[in-house]
Amino acid sequence: MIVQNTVPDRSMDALSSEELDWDALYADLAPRVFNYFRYRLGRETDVEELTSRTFERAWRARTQYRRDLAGFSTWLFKIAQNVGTDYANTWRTHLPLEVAHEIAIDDSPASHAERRSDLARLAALTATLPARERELIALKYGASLNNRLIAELTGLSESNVGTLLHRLVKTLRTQWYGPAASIRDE
Amino acid sequence: MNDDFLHRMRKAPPPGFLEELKARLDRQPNVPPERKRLGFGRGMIVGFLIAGVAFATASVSLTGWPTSASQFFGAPLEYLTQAFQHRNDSAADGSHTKPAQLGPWFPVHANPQTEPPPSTASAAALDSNAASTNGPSAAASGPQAAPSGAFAKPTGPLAGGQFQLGVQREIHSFVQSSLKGSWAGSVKLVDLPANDIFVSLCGYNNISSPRPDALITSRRIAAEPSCKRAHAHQIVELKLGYQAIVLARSKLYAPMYISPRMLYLALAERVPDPADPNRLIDNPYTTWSSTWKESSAAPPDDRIQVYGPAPSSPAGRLAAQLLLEAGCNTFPRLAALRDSNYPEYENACHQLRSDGHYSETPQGNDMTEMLNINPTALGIFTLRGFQVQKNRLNANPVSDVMPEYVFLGSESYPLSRTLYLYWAVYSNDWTRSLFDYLISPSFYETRYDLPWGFVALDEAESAMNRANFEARKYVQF
Repeated sequence: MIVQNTVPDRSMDALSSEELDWDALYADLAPRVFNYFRYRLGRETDVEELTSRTFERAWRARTQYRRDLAGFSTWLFKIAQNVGTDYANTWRTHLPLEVAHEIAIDDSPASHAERRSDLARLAALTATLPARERELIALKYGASLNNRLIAELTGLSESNVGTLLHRLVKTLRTQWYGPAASIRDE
Repeated sequence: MNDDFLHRMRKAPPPGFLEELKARLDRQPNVPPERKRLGFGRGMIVGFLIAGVAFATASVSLTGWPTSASQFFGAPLEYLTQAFQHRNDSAADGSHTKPAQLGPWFPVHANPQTEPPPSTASAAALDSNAASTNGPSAAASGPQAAPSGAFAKPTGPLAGGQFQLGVQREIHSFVQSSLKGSWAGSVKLVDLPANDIFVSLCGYNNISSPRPDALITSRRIAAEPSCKRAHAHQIVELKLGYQAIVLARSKLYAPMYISPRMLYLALAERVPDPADPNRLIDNPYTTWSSTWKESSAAPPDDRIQVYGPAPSSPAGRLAAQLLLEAGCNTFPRLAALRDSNYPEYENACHQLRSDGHYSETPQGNDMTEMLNINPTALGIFTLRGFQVQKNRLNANPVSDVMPEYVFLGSESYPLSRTLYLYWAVYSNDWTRSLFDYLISPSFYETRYDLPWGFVALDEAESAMNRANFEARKYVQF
């Protein structure tokens, strides 16, 4: 349910396409989009490719950006979400995105290290979560978005986002610091 | 909350990557094409022409076809004179200023503080408080004669005084079965296609197709272009509840992985031709594994067999929509039909196959017994129905999401949808008691025959709903 009585964002997001400082926006948002894909995919592979695609699409579509439709961050991350979805649909027809990390890309020492990394561990813990919950984690901790923007992107209410995130973090923290990192079937 | 372990996994992108990407972006043209603009003089001329045509057209419709040139050119002045004269009269006597006579295109609204709506016979029946607020004479007097210079007397359905409830076509049967008893005669249901439902609320309609007072739909209004363009306001969003189904198997078999796309390919009457996705063919898939292309975790090679309600029944139509729509929408060409050609979208995305792979549960047979006899089959249950049988059945997740209430609320369970009630607050204050009834727990608690597949809001969501209703929190566009 939408309950939006917030003060409009008067920051950079409120400018039209002609007024935007693209250099500053790029510097601010590129790392966030990069980390959004890292969290969403649960690995390093293909993250740069998806980040590039997102900005190339945003750049091509920048004349279509209208400040009355959405804040710029929301607009850019909507593009990122679509890029991620297209990637999942074309890479495999039916497999969910989270299965990707189970398939070894190569057997190099670097990939071994990656598989042991915190990111891979997080991916394993979140693999059994619904797609929406994984998206929340990627938007909150990868993209560093606030709950209001996450709510706009996911169609949830802001309070719902807060509640779900709180519950998720609590569960993940228990699994992270617990004696076993085994995945439970829900 | 202690979430440092999640924050610390962020890292900076490789410096070379960022620089290279920025360089590529900078090489693309970064000056948007200059839009051609009319010069000031030309713009003024065009503006006057458009305004003149619009004004003349309006005045002709207001005053009828002119019999002379002087009448034609005098009509606008006559209209303005009437409008301002009436406005001054109302302001002088301190009464609420009514809109001037605007002709047939604008809805007639009453001031809820001082007068009843133009047609009050049925409106008074909707809210027993209305009579006490406005006096019995107001409710009993029937349709009000339009005072001079005030609103045009409404014609068409509004004249009957019925509350107009726009309903998305796919959920018509649910709403109709919910509105029983005293409400049935006071509420006129207006079927609307899902792709166009908000236009009726946010756009302007001819009096013969009046704007509904409220809408019930499974779509969200916030992103609706027609509402944003019209700068719609004073629309409250409430939740009625959810519609959901459960896929379940016998406990003899474990659940299998199912996605919405698999369900669509397994159960739709016609599916995209694998050789030519732009063409639909009769469904060729016979086993669950055949609906997959490539995977190391393929589903079993079991025959596709699903038991559920009769496809022609209201329950069957709901099951078809929930089973097929999400997967159908993963095909971009089919998803686009929802807005461009809705009948074709319905044919592609709402029709269950009739070759035996989807079957109606035979009369007299217990579904659970049938699933035990045929353990590779799936059965369709309501949430409530499954809860009764859950000791004998395994719920099958869809896209790894279990059919639990929390996932209905977060809209992540694919075989469910939320039912929204949009109330145009400006339209009629007498609708309050109807909504009060629809969103109150007593609506569910007193009924034992809730529509098939309907899931009521839990206590927390119900309380939030009530708070928004009382506070009239408007949707922000």
